Amino acid sequence: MNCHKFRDIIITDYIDGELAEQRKQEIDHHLRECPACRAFAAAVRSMAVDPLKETTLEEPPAFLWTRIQSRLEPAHSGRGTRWLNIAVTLSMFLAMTFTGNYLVSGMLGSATQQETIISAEVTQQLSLSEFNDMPNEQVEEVYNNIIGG
Amino acid sequence: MDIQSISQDIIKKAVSGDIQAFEEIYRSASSFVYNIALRTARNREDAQEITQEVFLKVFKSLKDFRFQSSFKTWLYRITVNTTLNMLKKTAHDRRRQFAYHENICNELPLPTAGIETSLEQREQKAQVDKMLEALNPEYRTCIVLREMQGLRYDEIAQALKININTVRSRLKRAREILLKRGGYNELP
Repeated sequence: MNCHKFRDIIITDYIDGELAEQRKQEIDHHLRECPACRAFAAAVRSMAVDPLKETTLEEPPAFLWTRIQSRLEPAHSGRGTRWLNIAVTLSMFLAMTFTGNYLVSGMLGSATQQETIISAEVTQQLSLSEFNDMPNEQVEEVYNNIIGG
Repeated sequence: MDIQSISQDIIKKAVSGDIQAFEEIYRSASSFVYNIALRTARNREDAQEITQEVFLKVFKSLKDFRFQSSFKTWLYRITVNTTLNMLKKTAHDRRRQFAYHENICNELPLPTAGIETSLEQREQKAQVDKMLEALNPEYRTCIVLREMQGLRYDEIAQALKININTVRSRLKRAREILLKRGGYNELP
């Protein structure tokens, strides 16, 4: 293997510890023998690897969880609210149905009752009118005519 | 607390809608998500937005998580996808990228309220930001996952849904760019 091939491995798998032990020993051996590849490995570490590895990681700002939570709560409580909404809607529907039935049957009942009253009144009125159609004086006159001949 | 400490029990509780359990997941994984987002998007405001989006997605799709794969890898994938989508969305805004350097130099040195950041740390951060700025988003993501999160090649491949040889070649290319940038000219 020439230096070009060694460097391909050095810049990736060797630096990143991805090599099997035997392969790694092979590269180690070459690096002891080859100053140019040794300089290359050192350059990769100092210019392209170590500065990035040494970066201090940051913590996200504290308000971020509050912001996320405020977006989660409605979604989470939404499940409960959905059931609550269904329950409320169902109760309202049942209540309305019950009230409706009650009112309709009440109205029908009172209508029947009212109808009976009206009917009675009409009958009474009719009988009165029948009676009134021939008032007492007239009846008496008819009677006298018949009797009197 | 770190991402490895997230147990299956906690995940199951969070799936059932337990916000406290989900907060525990957030506390364990938010630093990891935020730093990938911050280093890849290179803007603190975007990093916050990405972190928020990632955790909302996690909460929503946690029920679909299969315990056969590692939670960490699953989270990497969501984070990287969300970050790259955000970058695509804002790619047209070149002025924003141009303004990045000033923005990041002004912003990054103040990571946590109340903590004094030394001049050395500021310089180090500025150097890292310049290095990442030199890379395109694909190379940058690989480098961030490898150097800052310490992922193995197979984990990066899983997270990015790419071939392991693609991981290798992206890392190689990214490091060559950084070497050139650092003044090293004897590349293979």
